Amino acid sequence: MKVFIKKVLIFLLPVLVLLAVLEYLLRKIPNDYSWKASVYNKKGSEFEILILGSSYALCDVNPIYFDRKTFNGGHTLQSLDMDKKIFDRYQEKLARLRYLIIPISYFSFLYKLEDSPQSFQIKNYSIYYDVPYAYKPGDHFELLNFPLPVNRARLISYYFKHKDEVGIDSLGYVTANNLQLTSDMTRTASKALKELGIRGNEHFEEERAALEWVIQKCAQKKIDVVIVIPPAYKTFFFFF
Amino acid sequence: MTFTSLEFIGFLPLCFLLYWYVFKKNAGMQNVFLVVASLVFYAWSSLFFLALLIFSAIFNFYLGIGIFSARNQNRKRLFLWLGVLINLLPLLCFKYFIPFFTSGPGFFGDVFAGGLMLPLGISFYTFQMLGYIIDIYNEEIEAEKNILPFAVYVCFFPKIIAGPIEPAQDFLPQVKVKRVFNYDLAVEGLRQIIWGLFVKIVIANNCASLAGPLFSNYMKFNGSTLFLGAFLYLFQVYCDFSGYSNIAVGVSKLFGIRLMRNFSAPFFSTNISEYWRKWHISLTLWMVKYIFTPLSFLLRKYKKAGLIISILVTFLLVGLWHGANWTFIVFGALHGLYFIPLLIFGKRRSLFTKGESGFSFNRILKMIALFLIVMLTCIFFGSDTLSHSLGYLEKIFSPSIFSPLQFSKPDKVKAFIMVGFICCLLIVEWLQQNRKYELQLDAIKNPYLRRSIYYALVLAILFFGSVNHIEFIYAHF
Repeated sequence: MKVFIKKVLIFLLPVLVLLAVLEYLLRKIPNDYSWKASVYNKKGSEFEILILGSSYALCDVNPIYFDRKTFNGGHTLQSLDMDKKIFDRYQEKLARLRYLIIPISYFSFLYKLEDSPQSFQIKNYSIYYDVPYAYKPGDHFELLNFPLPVNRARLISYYFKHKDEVGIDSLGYVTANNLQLTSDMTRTASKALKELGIRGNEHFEEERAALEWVIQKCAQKKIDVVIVIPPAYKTFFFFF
Repeated sequence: MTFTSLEFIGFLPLCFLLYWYVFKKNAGMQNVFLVVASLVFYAWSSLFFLALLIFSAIFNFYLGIGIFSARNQNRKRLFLWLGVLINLLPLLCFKYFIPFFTSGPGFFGDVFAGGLMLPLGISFYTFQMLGYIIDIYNEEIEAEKNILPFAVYVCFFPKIIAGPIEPAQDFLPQVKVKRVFNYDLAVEGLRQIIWGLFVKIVIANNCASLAGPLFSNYMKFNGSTLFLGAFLYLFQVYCDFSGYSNIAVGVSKLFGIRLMRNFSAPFFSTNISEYWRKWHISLTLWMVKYIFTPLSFLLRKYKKAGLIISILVTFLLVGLWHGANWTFIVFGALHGLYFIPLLIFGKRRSLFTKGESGFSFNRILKMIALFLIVMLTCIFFGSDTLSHSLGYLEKIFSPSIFSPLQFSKPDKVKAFIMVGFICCLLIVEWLQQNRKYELQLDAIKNPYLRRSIYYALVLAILFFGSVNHIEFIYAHF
């Protein structure tokens, strides 16, 4: 029995080492999350305005138009509970922060990243932001969140073709080539709402509490919270 | 929890260590542990129907004793028919009646919409239970008097989802005695697990990603692409189920229990009878024993006509076993029809004789012909409706069969790689066809070479595997 276990472990050892190397290499591929996390750590103390939120923040609020030092910390489908965790994680570093901008739309309280079709993004918060969010073992590993051929393609793309996965500029705002715009508003709205994975009001209280917590924390630190309601095309309302 | 899920990677080693270190004292403790582990495994995937599984185990345990100890034949027969009825009732309800009557909203509609369509493994454990009570009735076996080994027989987690449909006389004696760790058996088990994972994750899952879109949008593709799609789909089904079976047998060996082999290189068969003796062996044996043999005995005075009717009925039931869909019935009926030339021109024993061996031109031709027939019949298996299957076949048998493939460039590369892996699979199966399992590498004396083969398979899983289709096809039956 002991011989069997020993031999299995010896057999598995190179496989585990290989997996660890692959995980390491995947984590070293620069992406939006690792890039923004490093900016928070290195330059967080310089920000006077911080923008949090989902793709509405990421794509709609461009820090270049602000006359104070501004950074866009939004990510696709970043729900309010995640904004809270990021703010909590970096609040000590944001010593000069005066304004926190959070776009709120009518569905902001109704969805949560972990219940959306893009729940695999949670690993980015646990790995790169180091927020205490992950609840599944898979949320701690790059390897476990994409099919193996996808990870293989990512490795080849970065290490052989030298293409990274960063799609934002130095202020955290999305670069135009990442936007997938279409003139078909009906289809876009329908697709976007599906991506949110909304299932009734089940997240309302949690998301509202997260926003209230952020507002209270900001009030204690004399930071003004600016709620922005982004414009939405009528089809969004129709499908909603 | 499936064999390819992350949870199972944690579940299996934990169970293995607890079984051999904590519960190793006697057969009773080992069985208690296996029952608990199996119920946890089952509940993880299908908590809603756990009660049904437990009911089936308890009911059949006492029914078996009832049949065995019945004082007269009439009472025995009454118990038997009661058992057949009560065992078949949930299967008929969940697999055939409820899906038919619950297309709309409502309680059952919601349950079905939530993915709890069918109690997991119901077709497998129902047939296993039917075999058990019929064997007791026929006095082939005695009823099990201890509920623990019997509960392991019903619930044993490696085989609960998709078999093999294990005969009680093979399984029960193994769990009635204390199991002692057998190094060679455990190593065999690991080899079968590696091979099963390879064929499932690398071949079946990738074939699924190529064949799936072709089956759902066959109208958009030409004959040559659909022909390749049918080829890939057959290997998807084969690798999915044989991969599952290999993993099930392998996992079982880790716990010191041998399960029967479910696939034995079926594509090297030269006639349909040999094919079915190598494809889903446990179901074939069950059908032969409990349907074909009694029926052909009943119709023996009609000679060949009786045999033909028995075969057709047996295969209609094989089709129906897969689900309440005309496509499955046609699939079964066609396989039954393929037996007719064998019955008309051959002798009865040709149904059971061993197939040809060796490497001859004649054999290769027969193998290819049979493969094509099986492949085209499998289109019915993979289609949602009969018109869908016929439309698919019509496109294959059109001049567009000679057109270039309509795959995108990445899919072409993927299909090319898959055909390469399928060739590797066939070479391994050809070389190993007379061995107990595909990765039995005793002939290779050099341990480094053996290990290199294992590592090559692991690397193939890591770099070419696809986890997009983690579900096993037969888990839905």
